[in-house]
Amino acid sequence: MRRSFAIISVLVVLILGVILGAIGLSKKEVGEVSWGILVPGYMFFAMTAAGAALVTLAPSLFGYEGSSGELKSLRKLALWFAAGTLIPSWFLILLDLSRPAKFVDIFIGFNPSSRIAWMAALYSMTFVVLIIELLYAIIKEERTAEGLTGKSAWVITLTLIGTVVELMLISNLSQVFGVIQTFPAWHGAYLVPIFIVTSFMLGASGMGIFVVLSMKNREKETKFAASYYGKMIISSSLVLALLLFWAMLSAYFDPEAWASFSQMLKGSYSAMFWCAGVLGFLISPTVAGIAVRRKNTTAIVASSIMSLLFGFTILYLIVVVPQTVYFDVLAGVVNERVYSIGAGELLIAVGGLLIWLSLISLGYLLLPLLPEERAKKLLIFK
Amino acid sequence: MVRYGFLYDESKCIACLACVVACSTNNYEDHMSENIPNPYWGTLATNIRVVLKDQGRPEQLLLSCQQCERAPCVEVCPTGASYINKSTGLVEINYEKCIGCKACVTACPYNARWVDPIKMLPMKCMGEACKARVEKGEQPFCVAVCPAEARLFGDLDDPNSEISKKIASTKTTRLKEALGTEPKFYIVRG
Repeated sequence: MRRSFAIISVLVVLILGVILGAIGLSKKEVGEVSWGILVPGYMFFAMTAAGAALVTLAPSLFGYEGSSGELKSLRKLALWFAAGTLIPSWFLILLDLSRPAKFVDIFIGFNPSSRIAWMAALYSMTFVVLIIELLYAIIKEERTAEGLTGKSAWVITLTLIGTVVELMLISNLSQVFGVIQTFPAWHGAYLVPIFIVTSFMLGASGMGIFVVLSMKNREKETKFAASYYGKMIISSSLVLALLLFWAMLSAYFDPEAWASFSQMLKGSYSAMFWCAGVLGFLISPTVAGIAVRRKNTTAIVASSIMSLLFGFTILYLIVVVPQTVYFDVLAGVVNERVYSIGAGELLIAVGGLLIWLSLISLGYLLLPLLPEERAKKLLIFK
Repeated sequence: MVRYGFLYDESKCIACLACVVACSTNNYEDHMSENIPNPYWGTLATNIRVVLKDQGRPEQLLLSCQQCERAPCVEVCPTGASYINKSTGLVEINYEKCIGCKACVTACPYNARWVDPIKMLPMKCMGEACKARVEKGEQPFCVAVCPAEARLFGDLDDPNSEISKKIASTKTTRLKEALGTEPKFYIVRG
C-alpha cells in the first residue's frame, strides 16, 4: 500500500515536471544571448549521468571492486542513476530548441562536421548502452540466484563499451563549445579535461546522495560510498581548481579570452564565481574529507549537494559569461550583452529537475536495484 | 554557376542607414509594422549590423553575412539546414530542416545572425525579398538603395563584373581572415 502510494506520488511529480516544461516552452522568449540556462542545465544532467557511470563502473575494468566487492553492489544503482539522469538532459535539450518536434531531423540530415549532431548520436548510444548494461545486470543476478552462471566477459565488454561511449560523450560535449571561434574563452585545449573532471565530480556527488538514501539500512555499502565518493569529490575538486587556474592563466595572455574570464574574477559575475569557488573548492572538499575519515554518510550527502551546486554554477559561468562579453570585428570594440533568465526557461529547468528526481525515485521503487533484490515481474521489475 | 560576393566601401559610405531600413522594410515588413526589433543587435529587424568604433580613430562599418566559403555556421548546423547554395555561392538556410538550436548564431564570428522573436528561428542576409530579386537578376535592396554607391554585389568569378573590377583595382580587406573562413565580403577601408 505504501509502495503504491509512493509510486503514484512520484508519477504526479513526473507529470507536474512535464506540464511545467510545456508551459515554459509556450513562454520562451528571445533574449540577447543564444544559449542560456537550459544549455548548462542539460550539460549538468549529461555530465552527472556519464560521471556516475564512469566513477562507479569503470574501476572494475582495472579489477577494482572495492575492498570487499562494494562497488559491485552499487552497479545497478549507478546504471539506473545514469540512465535516469540522461532523460531530463534530453528534456532540456528538446525544449531549448525552437522546434522540438523536428528534433528527429538531426538523424535524418546528420551533419558529421557538427558536434551537436554527434551529441544526439552519443546521447542515444549512451542511453542504450546503459539500459542494456542494467537489464543484463538484473537478468544475470536473477540467473545467478537460480544457480545458473552467466559469462563475466559480457559484463566487462559492456562496461568497456559504456566507458568509451561516456568519455566520448563528455569530450564531444566540450567540443560543442571548443570549436566555436566567436567566443575565445571557449576556444581552448583546457575545455576537454575541465569537462571530464567536472563530470567525475558531479557523478560522484550524485551517487553519494543516491547510495546513502537508497541503501540507508546497509551500513557496509553506505560507509564505503561515503569514503569512495568522498575521495572522488576531493580529488576532482583539486584537479578542477588546477585546470581552471590553467584556463585563466592562458586566458590572461589572450585579451579576447581574458575579457570573459575577468568578468568571473572581478566583473559582474564575480560574486557568483567566488561564492561557488569557496563552496566547491573549500567547503565541499573539507566536508568530503570528514566523510572519508569518519565514513560519515551525513557528511557525504552535504558535500555532494554542495558539489552539485558548485558544478552547475561553473557550467553556467563557462557557458553564459563568454557570450556576454566578446570582441567585435573592429579592433578595440567590445560587445557587451545582458543575460537574464526568462520565465519560460526557469519553468523548463524546474520541470527538468522534477522529472529527474521523480525518475530516479521511480526506478528505485520499481526496479530491483539493491543487491538482494530480484526481478519478479516481466524479468526486470521487482 | 556564379559565386556571389559583396563589397562595402567605407570611404564612400555616408552612414545614412538607407541600406538598413531597406533591408528591414522589404525583408521583415511585419516586424516593422508591429515595431518588433532585432533583439540581438538592439536595432530594428534587419540583416545589416552597425559596428561603431568611437575610441581612437572613429570608424563605422555596416556589415551583414560575410558569405564565407568555409562558413562556421554551416559546419556546426546539426541538420544541414545552413548550407552553401552551390549555384550562387551564398550561405542560405533551409527552414524546412532548421530545428532552432541556435548553434549557427553562436558560431558566426561576425555576429551576422540573429533570432527572429516571432518565428524563433535564425535570420541572416539574404532575406527572402532580396533572394527573389537576385533570382530575377536584380541587386539586393541594400545595394539598390545606396545613394553613395558604397555597396556592390556580383559574381566574383566574372572578371568583368563591377565587383571584380573594383576588387582588382582597389585595396580591399576581409574581416577576421586569420580564422580561415574565407569570407566573400570585401571592404574598402575609409
